[in-house]
Amino acid sequence: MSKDTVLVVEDDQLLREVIEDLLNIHQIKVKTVGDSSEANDWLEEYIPDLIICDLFLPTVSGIQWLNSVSEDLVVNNSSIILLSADHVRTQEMLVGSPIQSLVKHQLEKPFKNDELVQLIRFFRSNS
Amino acid sequence: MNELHPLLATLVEEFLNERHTVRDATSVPLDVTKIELSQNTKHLLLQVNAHLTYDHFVSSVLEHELRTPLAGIVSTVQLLQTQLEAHEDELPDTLQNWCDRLEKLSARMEFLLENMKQLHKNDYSSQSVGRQTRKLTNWFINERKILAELIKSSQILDLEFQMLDESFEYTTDYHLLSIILGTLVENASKYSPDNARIDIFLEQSQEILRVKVIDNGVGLGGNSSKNLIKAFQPGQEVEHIEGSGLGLSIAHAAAQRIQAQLLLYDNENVAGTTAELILSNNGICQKTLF
Repeated sequence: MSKDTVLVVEDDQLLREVIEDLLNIHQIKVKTVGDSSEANDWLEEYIPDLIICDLFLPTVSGIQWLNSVSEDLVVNNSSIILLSADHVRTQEMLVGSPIQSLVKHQLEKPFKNDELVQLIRFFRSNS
Repeated sequence: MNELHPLLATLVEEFLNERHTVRDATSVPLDVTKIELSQNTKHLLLQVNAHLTYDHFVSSVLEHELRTPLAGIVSTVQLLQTQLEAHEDELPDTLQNWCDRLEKLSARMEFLLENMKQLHKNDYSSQSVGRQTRKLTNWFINERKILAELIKSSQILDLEFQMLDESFEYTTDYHLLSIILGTLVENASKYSPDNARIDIFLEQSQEILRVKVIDNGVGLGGNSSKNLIKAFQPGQEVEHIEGSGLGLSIAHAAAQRIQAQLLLYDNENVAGTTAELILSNNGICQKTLF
């Protein structure tokens, strides 16, 4: 694994598989995990340049988890794409959060495959 | 928990009786703004309001839960389309037709979901009406009466406090806290035998508040708590117990909205499950989720 591997944190196994297939087809390196503790294990090995994270994870919310690892993400200047259903409320939650400036985009489920791929390419090249 | 229709029927009856009484007492036309409601009518109105709030919340959770599988379907159909286009000459037309049909169906589902979202647009903002500051032990003592109605008549519901400060006041959305506890107690009752005891513990330490709902029922078995809180995923070996498959998912959604954590684990050395809700002790920064 390397920094240019996209880390996807999504608790739904089937959607994880779909995202993995999609990114493999587009030759984008990807690591998918199902919850925050699994994601923490991977962060010990490498801090990715781009994280795609669902807001609704088991045990803690996506933002709670991202806040808990914000120090490493800020140092690395990682970009974050949040999978969220409500932009306004997500913005409310991000106010004052240490990861506020790292969240580059909120993508609503269901999303277009092309949009996700374009976003990943854009934010990886700008990180 | 859905008893809205009988409640509404009783409420209408109450209103008709009251109106009848007022008309008997006076011969002047009825001024609806001056009707004083009886205690019973007020109680029924509060119950109806609680059920409407609950139903609306469940509907918003359902809408949210549908987004993930639909995202999987939409993305898979798009992947299929791309593959079919790449092998257009080799594959029969029927495959392309079926894929087009799937695409139209998933687009229609997306449209329906967006309409559902509009229905919930103004619900449960960070300024939720249920957010109040209350003395926590008093709230639990009152809530226990409501919770006792959710368990089997032969079962016992016990409430115990281990508080550093018995008069501790806590700010949260009490509607949502009530939904969480109701779901956990209902679940504990459903998966426990008759005559079983269900314990609710409220514990306060310097850092956190914990609410534990402990039963001596079937336990988690081979199920992980992560799977159980996902919608429509009933546990193994409990197929004989009826349920919507949404219960713990609703509790989990409500917990995340009040910045709480919900954990499920087997009891040590004895049968049964503990559902633990971890609340922040300081009551700050409790913004809502989706």
